[in-house]
Amino acid sequence: MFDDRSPIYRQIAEQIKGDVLRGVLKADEQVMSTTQYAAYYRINPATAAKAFQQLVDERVIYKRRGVGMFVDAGARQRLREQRRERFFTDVLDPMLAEARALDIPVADIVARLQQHSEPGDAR
Amino acid sequence: MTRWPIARYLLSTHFIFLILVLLGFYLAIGVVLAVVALLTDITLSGVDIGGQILNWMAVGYGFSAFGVLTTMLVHGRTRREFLAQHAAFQVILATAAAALVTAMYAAETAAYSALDWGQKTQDDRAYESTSDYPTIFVAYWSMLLIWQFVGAFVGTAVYRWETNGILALLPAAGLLLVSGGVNSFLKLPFVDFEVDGLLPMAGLTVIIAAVTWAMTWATVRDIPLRTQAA
Amino acid sequence: MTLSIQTTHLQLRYCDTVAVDDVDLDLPGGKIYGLLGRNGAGKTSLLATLAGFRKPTAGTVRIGGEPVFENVRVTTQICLIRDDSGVGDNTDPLSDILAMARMLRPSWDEKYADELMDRFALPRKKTLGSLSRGQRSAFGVLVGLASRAPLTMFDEAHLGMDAPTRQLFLDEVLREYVARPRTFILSTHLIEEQSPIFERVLVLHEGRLLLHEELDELRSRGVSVTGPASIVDDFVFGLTVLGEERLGPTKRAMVYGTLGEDSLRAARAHGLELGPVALQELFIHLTGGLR
Repeated sequence: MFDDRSPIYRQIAEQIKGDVLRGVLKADEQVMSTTQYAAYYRINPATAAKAFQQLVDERVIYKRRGVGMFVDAGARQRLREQRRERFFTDVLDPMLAEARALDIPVADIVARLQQHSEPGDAR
Repeated sequence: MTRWPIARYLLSTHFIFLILVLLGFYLAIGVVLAVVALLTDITLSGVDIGGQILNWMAVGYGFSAFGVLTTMLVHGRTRREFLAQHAAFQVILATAAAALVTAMYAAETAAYSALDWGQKTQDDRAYESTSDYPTIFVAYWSMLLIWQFVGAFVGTAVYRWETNGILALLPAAGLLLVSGGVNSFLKLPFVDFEVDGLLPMAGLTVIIAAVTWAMTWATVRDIPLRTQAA
Repeated sequence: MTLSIQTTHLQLRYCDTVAVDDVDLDLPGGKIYGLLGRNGAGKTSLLATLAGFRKPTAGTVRIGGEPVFENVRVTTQICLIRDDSGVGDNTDPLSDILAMARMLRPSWDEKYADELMDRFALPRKKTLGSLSRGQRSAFGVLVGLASRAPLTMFDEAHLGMDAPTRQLFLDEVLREYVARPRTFILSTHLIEEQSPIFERVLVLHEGRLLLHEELDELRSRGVSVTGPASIVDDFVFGLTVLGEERLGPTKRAMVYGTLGEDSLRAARAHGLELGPVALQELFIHLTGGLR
């Protein structure tokens, strides 16, 4: 489930952010409690709590006392904006570097991209 | 929290088991007597012959004390609790067993007289006849108590010092020899004293048991619980 | 209820070997601790002194603020289960051992013990001696869990268990911990498998406490630096290097500590590849590398 390298709490936070981003977790939807999360993934509850605290600090989720934690209504939008900024540096640049190493012309990449964004496939 | 948990545990399990063992032992003696009676006339007390074996059973049970000790420690009890409660249990056990043995003598007397058998005792017993119940009771109580205590001392010493623990056999043998003078169960020629009267017999028994207990205390008070591998 | 643990200058010596040497611990209660260390590092000895199984040669142990050795108020609140368990006599049926534990342990939970007997599929009528190695370990774990002791320690109690049973063991520890917080210490060599349930990690090495750190902190401590040998050498100069590997002209160095922004930029500028280090690898190198 978790790779054995980077801090677990960061991996959890990333996962939940991913779920929010892809719409698996919707606005104001309740997320698993830290204890449920801990039991489900066999991790220490304090580690799960730390991840959730980070998400609260980043306004991805919010707490309702005695009820649980819910997805912040603006979280998806904010995450999208953050990820968009990082998309080119984190995703596209390494891909282009790889393509260059493999001698794949940029034109081929563009063609492929266009093929993938045909109507019906595009969102 | 329940009081005296170790003694309670021993009473609810070991006690019942050991009394059953003792009853089985006398049942076996009865069977042997019945078989022997087919071949020849019975002239000796079977229960009294059994007395020769009981001391070894007592010392053997006493020896297993180290197992009780280690189990108690694993379950969060202390050495001090063990020292007090296991000793108290052994006193209770010796008393109950001595009472049972005395009852066996009585039962045997009844059975033998019905069958017209001879009920001679072994040489050198503290009691003159098989119907001297007070002396029988105190002599057996003394023997069972001391042999159990000595067994517990040797058992814990061997657990603690392993091979060197065998040295505990020296003081143990000394104590048993002296106890032979008190209750007459272990009679060696060079132990040349005898105690007359029930009160002195009981008093000396208590002293010998106390000395043995003190040696067990010195062995156990800070005994380490070993790992199996080490 | 939970119990804290304090030791000062704790030492345990057997005739000629020092098993635990000058260990100072200050562990708050109510956490799950992982105790790591190589064979012979002193894990078992340390736990034995914490449980009052052995008297320290020097130094002090306080559990919940009280001395532990021969202190029945404290020892009844501690349960240390070892892989050889010793929870009863080999000739005793399991049901008898459970009945005994109920008499001896003030916090024993009979109902929970029964549940666990089913969950671990243990035969009540069989004797302890007739169990397989894995069943024996499972029974020891059961006794530790059902003791509900505010300080519960498992000293490689999983030995001999198969993978599903080990998973059940971890699940039960977690479930118990969430439902009724207590202090747990688990000593183990199964770092990758068991460490996720730890909140903090203690590493013993040659009888001494090498480190005591939050698990996630520790996981972010190691950085591997890979690239051309000479550049890697320059980069790691002055840093704590735990180990190095060479493959042709490429070198991989393992650095202990967190790298600052400047270092990260420098690494990128030199085309060095930075990556995390697995906890197990970190442990191996912190305790002296492969020998």
